[in-house]
Amino acid sequence: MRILSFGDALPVKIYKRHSSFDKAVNFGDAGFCVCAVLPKVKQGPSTIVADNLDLFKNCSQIEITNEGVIINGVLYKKPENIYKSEILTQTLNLKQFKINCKNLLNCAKSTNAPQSLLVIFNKSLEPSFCNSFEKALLARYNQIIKEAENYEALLNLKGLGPGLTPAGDDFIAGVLTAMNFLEKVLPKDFKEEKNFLYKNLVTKNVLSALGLKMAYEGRVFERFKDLICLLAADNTADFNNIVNDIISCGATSGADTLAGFIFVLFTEVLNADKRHN
Amino acid sequence: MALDKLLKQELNAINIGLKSFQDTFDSFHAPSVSLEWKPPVDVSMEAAGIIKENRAVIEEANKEALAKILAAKPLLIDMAQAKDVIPGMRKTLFLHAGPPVTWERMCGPMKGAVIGAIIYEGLAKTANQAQLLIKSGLIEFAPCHEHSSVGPMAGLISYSMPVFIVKNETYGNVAYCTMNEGLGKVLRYGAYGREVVKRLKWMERVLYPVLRDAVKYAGPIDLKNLIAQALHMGDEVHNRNRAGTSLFYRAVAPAIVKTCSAKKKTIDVLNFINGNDHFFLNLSMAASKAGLDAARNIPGSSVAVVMARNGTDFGVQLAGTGGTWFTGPAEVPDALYFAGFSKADANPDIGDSAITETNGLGGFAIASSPSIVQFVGGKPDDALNYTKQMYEITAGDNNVYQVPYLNFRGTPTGIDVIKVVEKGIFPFIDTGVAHKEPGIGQVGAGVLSAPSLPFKNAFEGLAQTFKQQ
Amino acid sequence: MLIKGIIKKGAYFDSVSLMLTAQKASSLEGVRECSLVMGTNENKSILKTSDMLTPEFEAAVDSDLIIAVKAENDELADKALAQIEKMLKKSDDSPQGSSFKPRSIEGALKVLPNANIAIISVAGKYAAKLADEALDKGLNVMLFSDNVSVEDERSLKLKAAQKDLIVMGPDCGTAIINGVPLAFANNVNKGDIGCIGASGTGLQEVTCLVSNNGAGISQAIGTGGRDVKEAIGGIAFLQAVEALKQDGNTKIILLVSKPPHKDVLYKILESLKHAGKPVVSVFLGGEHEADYGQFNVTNCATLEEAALRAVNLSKNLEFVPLNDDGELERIAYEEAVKLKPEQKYLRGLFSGGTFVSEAQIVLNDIGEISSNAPMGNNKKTDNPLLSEGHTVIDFGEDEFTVGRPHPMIDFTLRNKRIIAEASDGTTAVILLDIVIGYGANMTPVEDIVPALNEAKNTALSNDRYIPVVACVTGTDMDPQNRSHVVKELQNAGVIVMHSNAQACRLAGKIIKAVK
Repeated sequence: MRILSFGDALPVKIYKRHSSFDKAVNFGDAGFCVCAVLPKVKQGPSTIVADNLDLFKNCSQIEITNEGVIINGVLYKKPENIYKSEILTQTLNLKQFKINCKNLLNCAKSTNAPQSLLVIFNKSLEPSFCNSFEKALLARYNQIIKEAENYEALLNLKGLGPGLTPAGDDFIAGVLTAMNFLEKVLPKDFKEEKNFLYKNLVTKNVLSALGLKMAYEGRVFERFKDLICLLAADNTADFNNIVNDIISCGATSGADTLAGFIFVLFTEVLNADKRHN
Repeated sequence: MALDKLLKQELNAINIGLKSFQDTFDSFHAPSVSLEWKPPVDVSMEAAGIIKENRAVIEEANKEALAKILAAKPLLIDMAQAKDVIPGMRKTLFLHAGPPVTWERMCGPMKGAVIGAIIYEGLAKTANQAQLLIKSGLIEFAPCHEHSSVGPMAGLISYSMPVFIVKNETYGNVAYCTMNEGLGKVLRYGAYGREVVKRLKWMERVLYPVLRDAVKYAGPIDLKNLIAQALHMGDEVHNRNRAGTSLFYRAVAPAIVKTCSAKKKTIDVLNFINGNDHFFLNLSMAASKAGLDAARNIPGSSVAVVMARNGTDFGVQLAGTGGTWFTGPAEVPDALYFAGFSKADANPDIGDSAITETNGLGGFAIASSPSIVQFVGGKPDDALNYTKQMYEITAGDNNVYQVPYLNFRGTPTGIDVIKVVEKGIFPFIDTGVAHKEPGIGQVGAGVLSAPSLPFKNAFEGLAQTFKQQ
Repeated sequence: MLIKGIIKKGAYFDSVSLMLTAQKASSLEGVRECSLVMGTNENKSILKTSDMLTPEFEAAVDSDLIIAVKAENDELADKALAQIEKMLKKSDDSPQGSSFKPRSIEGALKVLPNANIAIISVAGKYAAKLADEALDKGLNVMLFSDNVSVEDERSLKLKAAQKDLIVMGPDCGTAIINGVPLAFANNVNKGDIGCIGASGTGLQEVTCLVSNNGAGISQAIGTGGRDVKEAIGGIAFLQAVEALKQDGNTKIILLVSKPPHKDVLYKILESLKHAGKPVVSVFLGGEHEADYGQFNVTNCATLEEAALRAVNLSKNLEFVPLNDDGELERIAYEEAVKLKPEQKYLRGLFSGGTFVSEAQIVLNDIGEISSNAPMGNNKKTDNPLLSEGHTVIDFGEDEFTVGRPHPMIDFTLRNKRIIAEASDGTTAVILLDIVIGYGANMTPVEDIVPALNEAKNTALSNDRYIPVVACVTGTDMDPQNRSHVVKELQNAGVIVMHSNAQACRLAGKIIKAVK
């Protein structure tokens, strides 16, 4: 087995096996989680990318050390280059940025992500909520978004929806990520909003907890890092590939996170002008 | 509900004691694991309480101790005669391995080595004369460890003996060790015959000056680097030093040729080093000593800085307990004996060479040395398990010494006496076994566990230091 | 149309599998709708809005998976749920074994991070410290070891209770947790009777009787005999009562113990008052008169009665006291006529301590009994190695066990005694218990039959016949197989009864028939 990438937010300690899937094996300890994944899942702040997961699948725990990861007593060293999850501060061409945000929104609107929270931007997804649970869920989504006069109201989304990490949790992670991003590029401060959402969102689901913690700390997964680069670039980019890439994560997780991310862009960047008018 | 964890989860059992209970779990496919349980070391309740109370302080102190051990940079800088460099060296002072021991309590090989060293120093001509001299009270004994030195087996260092000077460049402290005499009838196994003394004299008059000049010429030799390479080449630098010796030979041979003008001397010296697979042992010991001495005097630390045996007692010193020796009887090892010898022939464990284990080498690094495992009667898997088990009683992983088979994981380093006592897991020492009669030499080799008493005493001794505060 | 579902704890499936499974499940036969969601409060509220919430889903938490189906009928719902569980591909394969053997609890937890119990059977003086360490690591403890001090037992149990853990023991020989027998226990049917026992053999007997009579066990929690004494105050017993009260799988609670201390008994009864489920108890030789009915408890005289009452409750049947008098009288008469006039005494040789108590209770009408573990007014034997008059011996007492395995494992001493009793001209009947199951002797037939044959021959050479009456505590699912053991014993001439109480009654009737 070869370790291809190591996240930059992997606290040194012992993690017990939490869950194991085809492309990912998760290890947890006290609300924090380390994910060993195959390359196609891409890098992340607490992710170890390996070319083969057999060893991870066959061990009951792993130990993260300063040198790397110890599996069944054997040390697998971390690679020279570790994945840096920080969002970098950059200067922005505001005009271009708005164009990019708009393009991203349009792209997301025309994307088919059934049963995801992108439905709040794309009404054509509504028929994908078919059974009574899904219909009730959709009604709840719409109600919350409609009543969301401030970000605090988004907390009502927590724990809602399908998926191993409930859609609402993913959405809020997307919101936090967008806030951290905007703080870096615009003269904005979301400290209070971030604190409110994060501190009040207590979950026993360690995978949700991990996503939220990373988002709160401004650590982003590789796909979102790519997205942020495209958004901040001083040219008009095509968002189709990256959006498709993001929504291919999980059943709806990627789409839900993206929805939260776009929600903030929409409110802060696209709708901001209207508000001032 | 009440008792959620028991009644609402699948039963996952840890079985401690009767092995047959495990079979039931197996037939019900209930995940379970049986402990290889051994009674723990019986420390006093008071000491256990004090240690528990101060655990946080101890952990901090141990971190510091480990950091110092890992930061060591032992360099072979020079050579000299003991009288010129070892602090407090006198003509009548004889340094020996292990904790302090009186002549009366010395084991056979140690007594033989003392006699040999007295004759070598010219203080007596025969063994009888030497013994009379000892009984007259004129001869003093002290542990090598109390004079910044180490010695393998009997570990004798006397006034005229040449020693390596190893300096820990990080902290400036220095350690000394003699040159290895080779196998067979040698002083460290208690032989004191004419040929033994003759070899020692040759080492003093020929080997020492030639090697000294070469070492000086070659410049400081980085022993940590040599040891790290040797581990990758199948040594654990206690019981196997073939790679280390070869690397050292490569480092000094060109310098010897360069600095020694007498051809015969050159040939003899090169052949001597080349012909002794254990030549490097004394250097790995001195390097370990120089590294560990820097971690002394860290109040509260339960990390061992010395494990040493004199053939009668096994002694331990801790970073947090100054110069105090904690001892217990040295045991006769259950080793693999050479043809013609048995446990009945064996002397209790002897030598300062356990300083290598104290430094994360030897038995602690045995997973690096599959060939030595065969020599001591085991399988490569055993070696892996020995090393893996040592991680349970050490303060951390080494930063430079690595085990290739564990994917270059650092060797377990910094023996934590509290973990030893609480888990009942004792340090593995990968060692040679001496014949109990002087001068017969090595009769076997094995991987043995250190005895429990010195660790119990050290645990209680450390607790005392908190009481005195 | 009805809603049915399950909560899966600690099993994690990736979101894609969850979604695909939910889609596929919707097309299963008779299934109207299906949802697979994590059990957050918010999702529960959506389930409620969509009429898919059942009361049991309330217990689910953030990290649990709820599987809910709306189906045409119960059968189809169950079928669908089974299908769904199959569909959820379980990729979570357990770690492979390695030759590395942990030496500490800490090390063991690295190999088995989900461990929830430590079974400790090391020498008593080390056991308490290990148990304490296990509790510190969040493990429940079954303390098989004895010779643990009362002080240690008390402080361990208090510590455990604070952490919602339990210490079963010390000297706890038997438990069955989530269907897995621990230490000396049997492979019994699963069912709705939850047992708590301060007596190991008692717990084995009732769980086997329940199982052999067609009902089953949800949990059998041992507490160790001393738990119900004043010094411990029933800490573990009360915890177990609380747990079984709340346990959805337990419909009937069955208590087995030697008589608890009066205060402890009342504490237990008080906690059962509002149990909301029927409680059956047997306090062997209960000295305290208590108005059990007032506390919703049906108290019984023997293990057998308690077990059968619980079985009837489980099957929703009226309890009719077992009436085997006629049959036993007949057998007793047939045996008695073969005896000589001087054959007058009963000799009970037991490996299970609780059986010795039960025997003395059942046999209270045959005259004075000597025992090395006497109850009530019975006489303490002058010499446990020598029988005199009616005698019942507990081979588990210290005088027989020092330096040897438990008599349930090692038959040597009792075998010798069987032969000795056979050569005693006054022996009228030999009464035995054979306990099988996990932890017990794996070859009971091979080990006891030679002694029985020798006893028979010894008697025969003196022109005597001595009936041997025995019970076999165990089930057909035990590795020794009860039916097999019974058949082989019968072939060796032993009269085998269903329970120890029944065996005792028969032996008593033989004695009385001789008179």
